[in-house]
Amino acid sequence: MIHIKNLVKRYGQLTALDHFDLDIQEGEILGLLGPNGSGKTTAINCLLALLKYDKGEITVFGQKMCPDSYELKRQIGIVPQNVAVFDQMTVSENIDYFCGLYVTDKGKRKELVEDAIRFTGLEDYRKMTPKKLSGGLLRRLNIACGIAHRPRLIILDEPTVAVDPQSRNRILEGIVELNRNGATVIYTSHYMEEVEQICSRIVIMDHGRAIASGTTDELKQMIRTAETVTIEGISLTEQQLQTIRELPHVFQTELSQEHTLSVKCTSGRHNLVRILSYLQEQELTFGRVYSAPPTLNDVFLEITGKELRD
Amino acid sequence: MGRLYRYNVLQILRNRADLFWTLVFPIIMATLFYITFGSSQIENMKLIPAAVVEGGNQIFEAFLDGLDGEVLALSRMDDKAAQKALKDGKVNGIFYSEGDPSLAVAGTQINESILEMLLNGYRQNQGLAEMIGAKNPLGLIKASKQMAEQTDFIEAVDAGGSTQDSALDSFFSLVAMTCLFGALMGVESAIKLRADQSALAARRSVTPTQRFRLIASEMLAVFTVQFANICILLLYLHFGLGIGMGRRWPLLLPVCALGTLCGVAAGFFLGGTRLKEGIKIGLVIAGTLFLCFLSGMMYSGMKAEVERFAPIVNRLSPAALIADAFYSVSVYENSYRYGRSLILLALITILLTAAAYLRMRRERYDSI
Repeated sequence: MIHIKNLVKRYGQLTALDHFDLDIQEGEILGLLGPNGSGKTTAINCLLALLKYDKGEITVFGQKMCPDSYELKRQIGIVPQNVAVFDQMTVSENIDYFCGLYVTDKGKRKELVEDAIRFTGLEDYRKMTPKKLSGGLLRRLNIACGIAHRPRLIILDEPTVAVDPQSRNRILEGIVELNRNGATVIYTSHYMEEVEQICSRIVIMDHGRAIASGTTDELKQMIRTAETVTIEGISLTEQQLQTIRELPHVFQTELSQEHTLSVKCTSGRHNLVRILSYLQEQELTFGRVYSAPPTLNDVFLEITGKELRD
Repeated sequence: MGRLYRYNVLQILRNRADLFWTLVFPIIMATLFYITFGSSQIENMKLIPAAVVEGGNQIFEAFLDGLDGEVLALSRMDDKAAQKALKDGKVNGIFYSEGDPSLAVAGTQINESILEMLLNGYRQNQGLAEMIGAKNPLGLIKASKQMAEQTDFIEAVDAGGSTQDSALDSFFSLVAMTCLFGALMGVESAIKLRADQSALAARRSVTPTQRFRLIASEMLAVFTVQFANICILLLYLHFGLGIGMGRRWPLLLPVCALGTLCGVAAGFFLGGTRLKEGIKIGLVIAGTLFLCFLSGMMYSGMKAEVERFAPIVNRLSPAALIADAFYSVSVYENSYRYGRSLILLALITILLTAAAYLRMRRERYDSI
């Protein structure tokens, strides 16, 4: 459906997109995950023919995307990172305005606007201007303006920034529903939990490159970490720490100043039991203990050597 | 496009800050000018009070009657009463309707000069007037009006664009300022159209609506609202403050329309640059006030000084051209100068509109 090949975008000396490749299949929710400045929004702007790029090729629905590709644009809905609505217009006027940029038929548009208002739960706020809406409601209006014309492809650029948990959940549920109704979704975020929750495929970006892609499970299988055991409230000598490091399947240990021990293990049985047995043997006292499978942050950390949240 | 236009107009009308600067502020300024200059001076703008002492020259009296209520507020008096009225400042001059008509004035201001020009105009066409009076006395009133409309003698006091009337300088420059303040709304609209300057513009840029339609609907909406503001201001000046716009007032409408479009286009052009919004707004306000200062809004002799030392500024400054066109219609009834101002204003407006469109039509950017 969308094919980006070898895309290069430079801002002077800074390379924002470095031979970036991306393929998107119809019907999927693709998550573009990466820290701030990794090139997600730049890639989206190039895809939408808003930004000039130095090299590469972009095709959407099998056709080259240009600024005057109006028929292609008609099938795309965009929800930008910053709320982009008119302050002087009410909720329903804003949705009608943006829907009207795609749909000229007045009767059809009226129906679509009502659907978008219902879908985003803005029924009680239709006569309000954006200034009177909370951050969450404003984000919902931002989404309604982008989806009212029922696009085939929806691009959501960090739609949940600065949104309360309740609104965030509603937005995420809405995106999944849009996808169920047939829309292909590109979802950019630096919140790995969101991406993990809703995306059928994830592309991890860093320094303008796609460094890994696949489903959540596929990504997690790419890295060495299969399990992270965390033990709180523990004090260890260097010798004891070294012994833990030498236990089977353990490849990394870290003891924080807050006395929290983090042990990363490769795939293997009884990792937790082995560690606890050693601690018992040493008659050490400790607090809460838990074991967790790897997160996307672990994937990012292992591939790039830095935290995704950085 | 009609729907886009309607929504754009709606947005502008709901923007109170813009409406303050483009409508309320000029009305406040006009009121302050009125208070400053006083109503008596304003009244003088409409009709020149003059006395006529009848002396048997019926053709000259008919000539003056033809101008009564148009240029003159004529009172028939005996010589003594007329002298007293002149001394008291109730009239600007006394016409003596004798075989060879004469004029007595007490000053050298513009009203006295106009009375003198009217007399000179009669003398230059005396033979023609006598012939018309003899054959068709009713036609003399029409002929006298036509004589008064002749522009060559009016040029005589119109030295270098100076009108010697501080009140009119200020009011007409104020109209020019209001026209050019359309640039404020132009800047805001332009920012909402350039994807490298606002998220809203970026969002609109990726829709299937043609760029031309987006730009045209915005410009048209800003123009409509600002032109309406100008009309409201003119109505206020005329009916609220009693400032006469002359009997050829419909000619002022194309001046206002072009002046407004000029301001709007300048705003779109400036709005399309990558300067910060505050700087753009500051430039519009400072630039407009500076041009209006040069055209005499704060100091009535300024326009004449500019004409003496740098006349090109008066030919290129939209504020000076608008004010000059207003004078040409409302005071001098000078068709040549009106036409010249209108043509120059149209050329500047076309250039600015083309430049604004070229700047705004871009659809793909180096950075956002």
